[in-house]
Amino acid sequence: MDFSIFNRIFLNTGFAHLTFGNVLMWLIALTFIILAIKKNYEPLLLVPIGFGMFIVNLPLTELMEEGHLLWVPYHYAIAHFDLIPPIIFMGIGAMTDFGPVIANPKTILIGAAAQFGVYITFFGALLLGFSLHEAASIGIIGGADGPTTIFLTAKLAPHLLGATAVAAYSYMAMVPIIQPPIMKLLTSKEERKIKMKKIRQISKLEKIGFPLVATLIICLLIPPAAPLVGMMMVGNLFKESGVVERLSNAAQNELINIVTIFLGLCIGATMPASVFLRPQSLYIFFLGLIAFSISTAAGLLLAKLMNVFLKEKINPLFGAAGVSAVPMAARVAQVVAMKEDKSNFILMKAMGPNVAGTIGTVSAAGLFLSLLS
Amino acid sequence: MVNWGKAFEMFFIGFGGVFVTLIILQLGIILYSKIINGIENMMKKKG
Repeated sequence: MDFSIFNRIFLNTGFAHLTFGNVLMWLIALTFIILAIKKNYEPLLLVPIGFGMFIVNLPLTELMEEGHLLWVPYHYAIAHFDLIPPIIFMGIGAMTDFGPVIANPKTILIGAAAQFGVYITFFGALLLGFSLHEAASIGIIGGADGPTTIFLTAKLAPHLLGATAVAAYSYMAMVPIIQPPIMKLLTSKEERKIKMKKIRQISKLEKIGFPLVATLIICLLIPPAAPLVGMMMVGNLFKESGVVERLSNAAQNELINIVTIFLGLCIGATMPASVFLRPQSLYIFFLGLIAFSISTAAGLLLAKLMNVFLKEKINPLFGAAGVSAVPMAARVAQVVAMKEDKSNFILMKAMGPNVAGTIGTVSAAGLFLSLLS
Repeated sequence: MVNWGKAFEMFFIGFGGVFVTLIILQLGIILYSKIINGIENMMKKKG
C-alpha cells in the first residue's frame, strides 16, 4: 500500500504546519474573547480581534494573503486608504453630545494636557530603539483612542498595527483599573470633594453650529486631521440638525457596527505568531501603559494648576477624563468623586475634557503626520 | 541612529501645536457662543 498519499494529505492540513507560536496565539486570542465575554472589556472590539487573531494562526488558511477575505478590507479600508477609522469617528460624532465642551470651553485645555503622555512615550520608544515613525505610533496609544491609533499606525508603521491597536483598546478597557490609583495619588480628599456649578443650558443653534466651527478651526490648523475630525463633526451635525435622523441612526448603528466587525477581524488577523511574538510587542504594551498613565496624571495636574488661577474651583478628578476613552474616563471620574461624596455629580462636566481629549488626540495624530510625511 | 533633533522638533511643535490648536478652538467656541447668544437674545427682544 502506498502511504505517500496519506503523507501528502497530511501535509495539506494545518496540523503539519502548526507551530508552538500558533498555539500560544490561540491562547492569547482565547484570553481576549474570555475577557470580553466575562469581564465586558471592550467586547465590541475584543471579540472580533480575538477571533481574527485565532483564525490567522491556523496554518494554510491564507486569509491575510493578497486578494483573500481579510486582506481586501485590511488593504483597501485600513492600510492604504483611511476609510474605516474615519467611519468609526462619524459614528462617534453621531453619538456625542458636545454640549459640555461648549458650556465650559476651558476644559478643552485639559484635553491638550492629557496628550503629554503621548510625547513622553514617543521619547521612551526612541530610547528603546524604535524609529521616529514607530515611536509616534506607539506614543499615540497614550491618547487611549483606538481608531486614531489605527489611523496613525496604518500610515506610519503598518507592521506595528496589531500590537498598537490591541494595546490601545486594552488600555481603554482597563480605564477603571488603571486610572483610580493615579487619581487618588495625585489629589487630596478635599480636592475630590469639590462640587462644581451646574453647566449652562446650550441652545439648539449653538449645538448645530459647533461641528462647523470646530471643523473649520481644526482642519485649517492641522489639515491631516481632516479625515477624523471632519467625519466626527459630520456625524455630530447629523445628530444635532434633527432633520436627518435616518443618517444619524445609520452612522451610530448599522455603519459603525459593520465597520467595527471588519476592523476587529482585520486587526486580529495582523497578528500571526511570526509577527506578534517578538520582544517588540511587549515593549509596545509596556510603553502604551506608561503613555496612558502619564496622560492621566498630566490631565489631573493641569486641572490642579488651573485651580490656582480660577475663582470657581474645578474638581481635579475630571482632569483624568482628558484621555479620550469616551465615556469610560468620565464615568471613572464620577465613580471616584462619588466615593468621597455621594451627592457630587461630575459626570456631565467630565464629558467636557473627555470629548476635548478625543479632539486633542486627533490633533496630535495630525501633527505627527504633518511632521513625518 | 535616532535623529534627536527631529525628535525634539516633533515634541515642541507637536505638543505645543496640540495646545495652540485647542486654545484657538477654545477661543473660537467662546466667540461663537457669544455671537449666537447675542443673536438669540436680540431675536427674543424683537418678538
